[in-house]
Amino acid sequence: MRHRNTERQTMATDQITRRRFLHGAAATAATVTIVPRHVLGGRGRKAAPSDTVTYAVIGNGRRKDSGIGCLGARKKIAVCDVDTRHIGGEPDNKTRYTDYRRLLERKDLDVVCIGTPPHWHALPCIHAAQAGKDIFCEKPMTKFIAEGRAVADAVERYGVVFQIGTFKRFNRSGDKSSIVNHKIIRHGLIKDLTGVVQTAGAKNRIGKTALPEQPVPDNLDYEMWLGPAPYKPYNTARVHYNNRFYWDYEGGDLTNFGAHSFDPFQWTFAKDHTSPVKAVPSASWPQHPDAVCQYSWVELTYADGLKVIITGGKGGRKWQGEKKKSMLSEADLDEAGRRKLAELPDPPPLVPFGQAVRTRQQAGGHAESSHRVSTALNLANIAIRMGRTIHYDPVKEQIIGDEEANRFVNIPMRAPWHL
Amino acid sequence: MNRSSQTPSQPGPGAARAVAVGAAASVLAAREAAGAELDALLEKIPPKHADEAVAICRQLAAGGPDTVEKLVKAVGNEFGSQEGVKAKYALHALVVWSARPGADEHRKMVASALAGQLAADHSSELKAFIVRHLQWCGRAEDVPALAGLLGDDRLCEPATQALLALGGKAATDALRGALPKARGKRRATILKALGRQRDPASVAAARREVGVKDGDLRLVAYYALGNIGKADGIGAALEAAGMEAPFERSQAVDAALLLGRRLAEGGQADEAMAVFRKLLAAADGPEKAHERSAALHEMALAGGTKAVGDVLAAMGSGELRISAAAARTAVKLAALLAKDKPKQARQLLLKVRTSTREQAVIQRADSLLGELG
Repeated sequence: MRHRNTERQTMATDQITRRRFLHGAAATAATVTIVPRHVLGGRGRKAAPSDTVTYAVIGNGRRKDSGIGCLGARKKIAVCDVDTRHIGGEPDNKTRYTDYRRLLERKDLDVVCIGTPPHWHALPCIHAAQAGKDIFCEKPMTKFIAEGRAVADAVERYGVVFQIGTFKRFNRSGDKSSIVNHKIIRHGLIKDLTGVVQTAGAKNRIGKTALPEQPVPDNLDYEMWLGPAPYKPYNTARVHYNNRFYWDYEGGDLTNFGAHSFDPFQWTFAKDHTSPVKAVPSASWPQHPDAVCQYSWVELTYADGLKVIITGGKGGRKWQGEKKKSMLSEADLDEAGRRKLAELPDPPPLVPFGQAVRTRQQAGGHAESSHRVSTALNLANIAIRMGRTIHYDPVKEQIIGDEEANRFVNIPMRAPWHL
Repeated sequence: MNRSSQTPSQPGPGAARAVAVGAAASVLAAREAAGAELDALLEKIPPKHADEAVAICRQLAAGGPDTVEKLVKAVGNEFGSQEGVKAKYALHALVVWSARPGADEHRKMVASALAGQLAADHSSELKAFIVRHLQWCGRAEDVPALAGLLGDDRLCEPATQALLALGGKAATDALRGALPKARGKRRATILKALGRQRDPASVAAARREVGVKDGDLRLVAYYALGNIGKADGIGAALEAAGMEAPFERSQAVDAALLLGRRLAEGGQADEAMAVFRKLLAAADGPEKAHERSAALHEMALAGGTKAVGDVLAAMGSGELRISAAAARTAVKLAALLAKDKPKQARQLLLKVRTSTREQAVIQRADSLLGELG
């Protein structure tokens, strides 16, 4: 299928880029620092940077551990899935698990690779942080906004390393024009970005609107598969990738593929610590209560006037707003601004996941930035579902002036699950 | 149908009956007409343009509670039926449209009509669908209808989620009222919700569940104690944090950290610091380095200058996990202290520069040092 080839191509490109980073081929400041053995501490033992890191896969269906190459030297010690077909048989709680909580109890486990559906991203991330494990999590990071905040806070609190499963920001962070753009905005050399417009593409596949109840297969623990999501009778369309197109589990292609294009934009425009303040949708309305439906575009605006348009692929009408420019450069600054720009340090190189785990630094695709990407995409979906403009407070992380829409920010989970 | 020729002021013996029959017939005719009108509207679902959808919603709203009742029936009792798809779309659209800002009259009518349907003889799945929509459009006046479902095994969970979305005292009171009779999953559902509502009257109930056999109930009890964040929950929370079973212990530790945070937010910084120091002392050994980092992080946020010594010491730790996390905590603490305690802020930032190799952290420290002057 086309989207799978696109993802593979993206991964191949990103792996080449990661190899360049790890071997220091870039002209930026060195990213690999040789640290004396006695300084390093992993699980209480003294280890060199090249030490093999142990990992386990939570959600061993479609993605498995296809993104974990960024970890470097590694050893897979277990897999976990609620479908026993995905773990090669019945669980033995040694190499095959059906309950990730038992897996997290292992003292010999360093990293978890989370490839579950998005409604099952936040809780394994939080629980892994609480268990002291580092985290690689497939995108989209979360299903609703409050989950992302909870994950980012847990990662910071417990001092673990987090990396999201998208890597284009590493390319951008090594690109000179992107670095200049980033510095201008981050240091406030230009404060009003009205007229600056970027686009972020995503696909737009839709779900089925009638899903009658079917028998649950013996190999699937459906209760655990649902986890925090609302109970609805089983249907094959709800599971194993097709869940992508149902609001209970994910936000469709907008949050899935949108993450790939939104993440590098967010770095380039120094928005890793904030969110849009307005979302204007152009989409089919009403949306179905269960199934993701069509959309054309969503216009997201930041407090400084910067706009990013998420486009839904073919079939929708194009965004017709005013666009003066898509990037900033030295030419946009006066002489004082150019002098100031020259004095400012470049942003430090983004740290690849494998290096971050071994040297205990924040990885380039860290939890706070991933949360902000997910927030923007989730806001877009809320606007689509409401069929109206949404206003957002990026500090309080609440939707303003729309009680119904704000109820989508922190959706209660099924017990015993909670944030 | 017979109609009397006498004047209304002096009805004959059959006149009242005739009027009643006539009135009933008129209502029936009106309903049949409304039903046909509704069918015609449903044929347009889903519409091609949003403007058309809004026009349909206006017409549906004009039909009042009767139309809402018809829509619910048209969704049908069988979950996932193709026949109910258009009605589902229409009802969903009506709820979303009526709950838009500035349209409270429409919202009240729809929510009230939906709440009324919860007492009707519908299937559990249809009621779950109704409850889900009350979760989006309901308010305090809809709490009683939802509370009536807390004793139902299938509907307790969606009703609880809806009550949480509605929030407020009425929802909390309803949940607390239902707890004593709740057993099994329902008990865990309701206790968790009371924890989320931060109901101080539920601390005693949460304490009682800390030692029960039901693992799910224990987990939600830890969370409830933590999130309610009252001092009378400290003992039970810290005791749970000392258990052996690794995953459950991690939940209890996190709940104790949460309890400390809530105490600090409520102005009880000394009590919060005491909780964090106990957790710090209990997290011995390299395998609990992350718990030490967490306790230190919370101490810094809650204790301000009282945590400076601990953070400085942690930055000098021989364990990289500890020192690296402590450097990030130090920058955060320094930012909090910069305005009122610049000397301590500078002390932290200078230590950061020598204790970590993380360029991003060093840059932030340099930037803050520049602001301090």
